[in-house]
Amino acid sequence: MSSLRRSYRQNLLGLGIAALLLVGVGLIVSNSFYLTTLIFALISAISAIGLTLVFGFAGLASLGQAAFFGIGAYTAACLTEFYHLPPLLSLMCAVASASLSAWAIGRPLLRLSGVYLTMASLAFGLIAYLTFSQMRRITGGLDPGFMLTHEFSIGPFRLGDTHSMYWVCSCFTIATLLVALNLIHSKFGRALRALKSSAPASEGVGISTASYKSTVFAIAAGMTGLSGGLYAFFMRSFNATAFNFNLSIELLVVVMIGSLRSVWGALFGAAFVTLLPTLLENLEDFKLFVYGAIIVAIMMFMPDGLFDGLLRLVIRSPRKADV
Amino acid sequence: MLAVSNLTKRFAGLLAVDNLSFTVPAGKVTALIGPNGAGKTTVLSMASGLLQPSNGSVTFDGRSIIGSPGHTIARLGISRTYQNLQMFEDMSVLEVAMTGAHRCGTSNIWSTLFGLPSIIREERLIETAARDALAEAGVPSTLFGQDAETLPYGLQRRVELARALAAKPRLLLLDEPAAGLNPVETRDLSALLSTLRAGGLTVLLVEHDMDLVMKLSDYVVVMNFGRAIAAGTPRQVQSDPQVVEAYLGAED
Ligand SMILES: Nc1ncnc2c1ncn2[C@@H]1O[C@H](COP(=O)(O)OP(=O)(O)OP(=O)(O)O)[C@@H](O)[C@H]1O
Ligand SMILES: [Mg+2]
Repeated sequence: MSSLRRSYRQNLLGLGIAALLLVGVGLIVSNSFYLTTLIFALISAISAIGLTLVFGFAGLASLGQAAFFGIGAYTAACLTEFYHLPPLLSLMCAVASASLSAWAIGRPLLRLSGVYLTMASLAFGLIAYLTFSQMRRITGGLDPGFMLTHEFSIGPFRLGDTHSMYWVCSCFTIATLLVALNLIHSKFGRALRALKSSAPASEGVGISTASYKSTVFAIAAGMTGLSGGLYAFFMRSFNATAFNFNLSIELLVVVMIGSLRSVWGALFGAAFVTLLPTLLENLEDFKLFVYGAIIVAIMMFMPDGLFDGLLRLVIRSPRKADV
Repeated sequence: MLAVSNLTKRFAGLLAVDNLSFTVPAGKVTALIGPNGAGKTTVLSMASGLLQPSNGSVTFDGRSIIGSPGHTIARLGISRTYQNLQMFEDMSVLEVAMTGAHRCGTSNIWSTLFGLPSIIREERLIETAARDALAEAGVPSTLFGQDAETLPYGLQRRVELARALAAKPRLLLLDEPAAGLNPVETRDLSALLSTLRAGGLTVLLVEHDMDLVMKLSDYVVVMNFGRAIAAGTPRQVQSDPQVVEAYLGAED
């Protein structure tokens, strides 16, 4: 078997182990506070897996992911609340709507590069946030926010309680990881890494950099939309503040604490960032400050991500593509 | 196969390529030579879609490629290497060559997302094409797993050549493949290019090493200040007084 095929198999094995771990945790933990923390970590991991593809692999630093999270959340919530669509279908529509909006803005947006792209995506995120908070007839704005009276269910199974939502989020996390691994271990994944390092040479081997960029942007937005939809079904009552700039920053921090070179880092980063507030009291007040410090420190000392850097220190492997 | 006519490129007042015309016949090696700054790289960049000309046309198999994006031109069968390395970072040698074979893959994004069996077949196909190209370019198979960027310069140039060959091009554009190579490496390169030529590949070669040019090429086009000053067989241009003057003048 070729070495690349073997590395893919190893990742699938890792995925199996991760699934077993999630099952183990789900069987042991019954405290709803811990379960809630875990659910938030899984939701954030799903978004971060998408951002790892966009930022880590393709090198497109997006600061507008909160917009897609919000689009996903409101799509899922509105379709179920107002149109009585089955929750699972609403969730799939959340993925589609986030993906399609990313596709629509991706072409003009991704023509920019570097800091201009970051600024433009930031602006998009702010516009989306303002729209969410102003369209009060639909979204409930900041106050009173959205009230979702239906709980999550699949067919006849009601899955609205915390424990069930943990299982639901675990399944979607594993599915998202699988999709991301499939992408990375294909010509698509190589094309992303290629266009990150040399756009002319990528075009030179037949890679349409523009369409690969907008495709990965749309796929990542779909993942972020999925986590937004899960957030909506888990919270049931939420307001537009959840989708502000802080969320975009937080997702970036998750990726940077995890890894820019491997989607596994997203799990680690999400766990870290979600557990951080339980370690530091009153974190809300100076969260952005802490995040800022973390970003600067990681950029300076471990540009491939903290988890990645630590792992490399431990196994002392040479810097080589870990995919 | 490739026909350049009245090609002109202006950079903010500087005329880099000035009303240049020549053809690259199929199955032959055509060399494009000239002193530094003559505009050779600019011609290759226009033929590969990296730059748009200010005027004139480039046709490939009778079809105009002006205005087509680089990836479209690459898919028509034009591959190139670069004067300054354009290596993909964070990739093993094999992966770089596999990226070169990108256009051998036909899968769409959905089958990739769901990891359908067709993807496994496609990956195998791409990997075979990449391994063949690396072998053709003389990259030892013991290096396939190494990070391409950590290789010595001469080997990186071979990996770039393999990347270009992996696309199974019909026309190969080489921008100073011998630059920076030591005499042994240059001899290997010469042997390698002879093999490619014997295999019937059409090549447009930009090169400063005159021994290499004279030995390998069927036709030579000499440029100076963006214009063609001579064209013909290696023998003909060698004795052309304008060419001699351009080279002597450039060395002053
Ligand atoms: N992107 C650019 N912008 C402005 N001027 C350029 C650009 N690219 C090339 N030039 C100029 O155009 C002229 C031709 O450059 P080109 O690189 O094509 O020469 P060359 O024949 O490849 O030279 P060399 O043998 O040194 O590689 C030079 O004077 C160069 O400075
Ligand atoms: Mg040049």
